[in-house]
Amino acid sequence: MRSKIAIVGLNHKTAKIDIREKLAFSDEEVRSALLSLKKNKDILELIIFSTCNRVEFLIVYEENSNFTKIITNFIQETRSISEEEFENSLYIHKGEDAIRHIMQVASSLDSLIVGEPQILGQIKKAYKNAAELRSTKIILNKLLHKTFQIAKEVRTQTKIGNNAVSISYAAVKLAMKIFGDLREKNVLLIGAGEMAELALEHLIYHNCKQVFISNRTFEKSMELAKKFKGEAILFEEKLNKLKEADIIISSTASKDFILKHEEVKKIMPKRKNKVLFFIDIAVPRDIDPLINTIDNCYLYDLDNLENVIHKNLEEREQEVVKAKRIIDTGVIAFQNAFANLKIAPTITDLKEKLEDIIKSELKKGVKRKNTYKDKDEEIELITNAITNKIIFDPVSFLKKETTHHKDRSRYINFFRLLFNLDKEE
Amino acid sequence: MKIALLILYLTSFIFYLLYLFKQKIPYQKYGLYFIFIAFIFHGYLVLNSFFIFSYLPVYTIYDNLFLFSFAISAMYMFLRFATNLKMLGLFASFLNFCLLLIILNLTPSFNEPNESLKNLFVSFHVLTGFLAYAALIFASFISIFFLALNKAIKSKKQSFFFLRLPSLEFLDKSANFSINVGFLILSISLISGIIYFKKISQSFWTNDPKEIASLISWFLYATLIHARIAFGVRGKKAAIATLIGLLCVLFTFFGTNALTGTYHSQFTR
Repeated sequence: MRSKIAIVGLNHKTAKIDIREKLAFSDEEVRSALLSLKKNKDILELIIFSTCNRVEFLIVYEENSNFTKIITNFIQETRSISEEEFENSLYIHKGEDAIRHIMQVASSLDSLIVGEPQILGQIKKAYKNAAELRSTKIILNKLLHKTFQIAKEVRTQTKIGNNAVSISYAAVKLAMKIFGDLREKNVLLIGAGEMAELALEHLIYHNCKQVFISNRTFEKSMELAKKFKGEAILFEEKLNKLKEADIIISSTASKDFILKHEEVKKIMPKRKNKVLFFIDIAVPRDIDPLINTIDNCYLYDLDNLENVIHKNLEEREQEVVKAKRIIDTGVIAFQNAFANLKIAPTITDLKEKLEDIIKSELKKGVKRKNTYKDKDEEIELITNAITNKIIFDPVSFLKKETTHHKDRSRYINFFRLLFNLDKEE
Repeated sequence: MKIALLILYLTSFIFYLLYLFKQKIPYQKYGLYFIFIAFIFHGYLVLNSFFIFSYLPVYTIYDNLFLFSFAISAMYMFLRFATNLKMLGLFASFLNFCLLLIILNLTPSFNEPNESLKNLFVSFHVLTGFLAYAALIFASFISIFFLALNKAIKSKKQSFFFLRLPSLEFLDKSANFSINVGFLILSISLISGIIYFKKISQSFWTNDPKEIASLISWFLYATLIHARIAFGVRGKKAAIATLIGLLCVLFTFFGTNALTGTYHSQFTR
């Protein structure tokens, strides 16, 4: 009987959002899944991670059992999805790879935004759930504690989470450099598009106050307003809204500037010169570059943002290498600990066996108390009996094995080594 | 005693410098601890002389600079905890290190003041004046930070300061806060001076250059505060105005001292 570690799951790199959505577990579902999978005798320990970017089952399984089948069957039964839909997205890591994977996930190396800090909290929560339901035991407890320690080391010793490496996130980072706190800031989205919407999502994530949406067609504005819980405004109203908005994301297909230097300059006194930050993601550009020269107005276009992330990407590559090195030390440290975990039961068994022998021989000795001449003979005979009993099994093993094998010397050498018979000076 | 104080400020400055370059939080903490110890020690020395004379000795340039550097420590402690702007420690510790270096190279002279000036009222007038100057100097430092960051963001360069400074809005608000504090204390100091002068000489005003310069500074900051509230003058313009205000303050403090034979100049020889 041997236990092994594996991780089965899918993430944003292997599965599209629609599949991830179908597989995602709520907190309550995670708990009931833990309870039902725990009953399976082949799954010895289990933790389930379910976030918007990943669903993963970290397990300790009985060697030779088909744990993948158990997990995929379980997913099919409990989620409304067939195996064909997700089997290609699934990855399975075993042993060392699984250990490395969980450490990379916790250190945010595997995240959509590498270095984002939330993932560690999510993993801690998943572990807490599992620990409360007693679906983790000695191996996963040890692994997760090591993982938390490594993730902390990566965070404190590398600058992995410091810089933005996507256009939309770089824009938000700049907004934070300008405003600090975004909670009192209003955002105006002009136009639509993936990158612009992603930037808006980041701003909403940072709790910006209100979102206005302006589009050439009002229907589109309404649709986006519904999606982002914002307020749809007419395209002609956008200039007027500059009185209230603080961050403007523009991404229209217009060939001319939709916001001109003079217009914005006139607006500034009306908003008491409060800072305006323009993010122009459109090509050709939407916003007059001269606006950047107005006091308290800051304008970044696509090229500017790309320059920002280009530098960050280079820096991050170096930090990732550093982080991977820290994780490697974690993997080795855990594997050593894991090997010790396997030795421990053997040592306990050996100790128990020896104690049993001693106890039974002592008992026999006490029964034959009167047959001994004196105390010395008693001790000698009892220790002889104990010695014979102890070496009985190893010696018979040696005799048996060496008759079967041609290569006797190997066993004999091993035996001499085990009992330290060739004492070195 | 003063050498110990000098070393404390220097140690604090070194830690703040390390923080500036390495960006590791512990350095900033040690910097703060050292300047805090220096502040307590400095305060003890000031209080000690107060208990000896039962007024603050502010009648020589030596004593003036020593009290002024204490006012800088005290104002720094206040602004540090009111605004949480960590980088300010760099300036506070450096400024006090320089001031103590100057003080240690001056020979202390005892200037027996006029009996009418040996009282608490004058001590209060001078101390509040120094605290106001300190707040306004810090406002200018913050404004320099603001201008550096503003330039970096406008020119799209992730420069040294871009990576190390807090947000623009935070700097703008902190500078504004320091100006408001400085202005309030400056007003108190001016009023206390005028009332006291009236008490001893039956007139409000002596046309002393220091008085005139103080009044000009006061009007300048009053205009700035008003412009901010009424017209939203902020950001770069406000930062530049703050720096012009600093020139005025520096002239009030040092420039007028150079003019001899004036009323206030008798204390700064």
